[in-house]
Amino acid sequence: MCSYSELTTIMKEFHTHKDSLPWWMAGILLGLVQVLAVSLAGPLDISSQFIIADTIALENLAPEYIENHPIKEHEEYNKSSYGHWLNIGILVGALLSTVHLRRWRIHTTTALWRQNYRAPIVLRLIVTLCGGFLMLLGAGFAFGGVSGQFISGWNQLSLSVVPFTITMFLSGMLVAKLVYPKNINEGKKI
Amino acid sequence: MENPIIGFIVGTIFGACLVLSGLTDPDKVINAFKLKDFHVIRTIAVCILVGMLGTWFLTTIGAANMHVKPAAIPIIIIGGALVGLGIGLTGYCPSTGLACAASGRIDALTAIIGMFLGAHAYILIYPLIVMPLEKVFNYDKVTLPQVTNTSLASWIISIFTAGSLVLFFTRSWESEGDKYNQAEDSNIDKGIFNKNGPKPIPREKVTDITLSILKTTRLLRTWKNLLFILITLCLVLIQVCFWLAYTGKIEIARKTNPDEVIVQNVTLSNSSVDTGMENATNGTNNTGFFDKNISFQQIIPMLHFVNVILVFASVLYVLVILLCISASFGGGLGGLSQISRSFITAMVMFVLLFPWQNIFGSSLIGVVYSPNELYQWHLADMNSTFSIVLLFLRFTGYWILVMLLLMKVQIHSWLWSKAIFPKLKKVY
Repeated sequence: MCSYSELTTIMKEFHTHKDSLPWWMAGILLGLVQVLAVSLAGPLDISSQFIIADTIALENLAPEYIENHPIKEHEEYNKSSYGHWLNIGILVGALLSTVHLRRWRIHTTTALWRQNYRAPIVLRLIVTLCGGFLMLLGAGFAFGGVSGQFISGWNQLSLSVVPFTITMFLSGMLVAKLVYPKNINEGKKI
Repeated sequence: MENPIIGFIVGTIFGACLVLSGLTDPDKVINAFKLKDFHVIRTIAVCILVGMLGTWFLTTIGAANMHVKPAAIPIIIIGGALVGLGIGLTGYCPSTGLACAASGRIDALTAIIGMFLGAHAYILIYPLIVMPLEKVFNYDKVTLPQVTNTSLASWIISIFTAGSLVLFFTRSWESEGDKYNQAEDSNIDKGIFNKNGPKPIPREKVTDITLSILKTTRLLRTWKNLLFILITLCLVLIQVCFWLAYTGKIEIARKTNPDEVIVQNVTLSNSSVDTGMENATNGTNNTGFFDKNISFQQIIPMLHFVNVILVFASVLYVLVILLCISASFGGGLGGLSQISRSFITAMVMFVLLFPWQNIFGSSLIGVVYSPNELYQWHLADMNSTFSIVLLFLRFTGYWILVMLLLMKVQIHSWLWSKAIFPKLKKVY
């Protein structure tokens, strides 16, 4: 039997689960945002902005290296400041909605991580660092990540989205099964 | 129109929607990959279906800013596998990572640092590894209809139908999230979390009457949701008609009889603009959706029909919400504040929606407009900024206001159902 405080923590996680919109409404909202983006400027592409930001940083830090770099000629990475403001907007929008819902609080790990590993928080942070590294490297390879390739690819029915979807889901499923074998409420008597 | 302000606005809306949709919960994302939680999968599926339909519509009216990525198969496979690996490890994708970092998740912040490092590594290896791989099996920027030599419409209709059917028939699949909720409900039953959760009904007090009221309320909720979808569809249709007329896809001209509206040119796809012009000059129309004619004359009965449906559906919608209040009040189910707010907002929405101009003249107008009104606006002098602003306020601004109110009604009623329906689940 878990303690009352442990139970409270779990129940807070439960409240997070409960406070989201129903899937159909959430899907319609996100779909309409995609349509809005396509009508105003083009499909959403979040991951490419990280590469553009890094290119800009390198222009300032090592101008001689980046000057003749072939990535400068890549059309994907020669965009205006629109994308940066898009990412800043995501931060602001998420912050405002979290504060409005009174859900803003510091988290260091997730319930699923705690259930599977009784390891220090540092390990979770290292894992997310490595995960972020691989994700963006992959998004660069695939000319876009979840929004830039997967969602906008399906919206436009591009050929590239088919192999991307299959491999993304297969590798994601495999890793999720291997890294998080236990479920949240497994072995806990609530 | 890639300007920073638009980027910021779109980003803000997107970030807020990510939080509201629950996609910023890394546990949900990982459980989706483990096929334990279907909330994320369903949300993304609906998002793709809606986005696909919307993009198709924008393409047909020539307003889409498409950006198809090159299909370099080997590198896409490697990229997809790495992205899946990253999401499976962290539970974040680049966009939700940003949203989670703003929501106070420290691990999302380290994921973002990792993303910057990953981007840096990509730039470093780009000339040596990525560039040569980009050229292998690269089919360039092609779409599935182009590869299969079929129409875009047939692909979209097939995917949309199949996707909708799958979502409909799997709607009752229990997700991990639902199990948590049930666990929480069982705790509420024990009186542990009475402060935070909905007030439980003691099991012995759940009478047959309460049960039948709950069942009736569930039926009312289903009707309410169906009417909501119908109203939304009708509203979207009347807005589409306005935009088609405004963008000149349907050119309206006056014949000798002022009441008779004819079509000189009908084009709904960019590729067929020239053909449409030629055909119009020759007195024939052969372009548009599925190579059929769409004329303003055809739109007139459709607009009348949509207007009637819209007004009837709105009346029913308000009545159903009123019945929900009665059930909630009479059965002592709770959630009265939410459903009352929903009802008041629905009333306001209906008042703004109703075509009062047909009764009181132009002094009082509703969102619903007649074809003749659209025609009159198009005949008016649109040279001054003021008249253009007025036109948009009348047809789009007013429409947006009603759509927002409709969303508000639906959110309040959803909060109401969230407050009362766990009780029904418990009874079963």
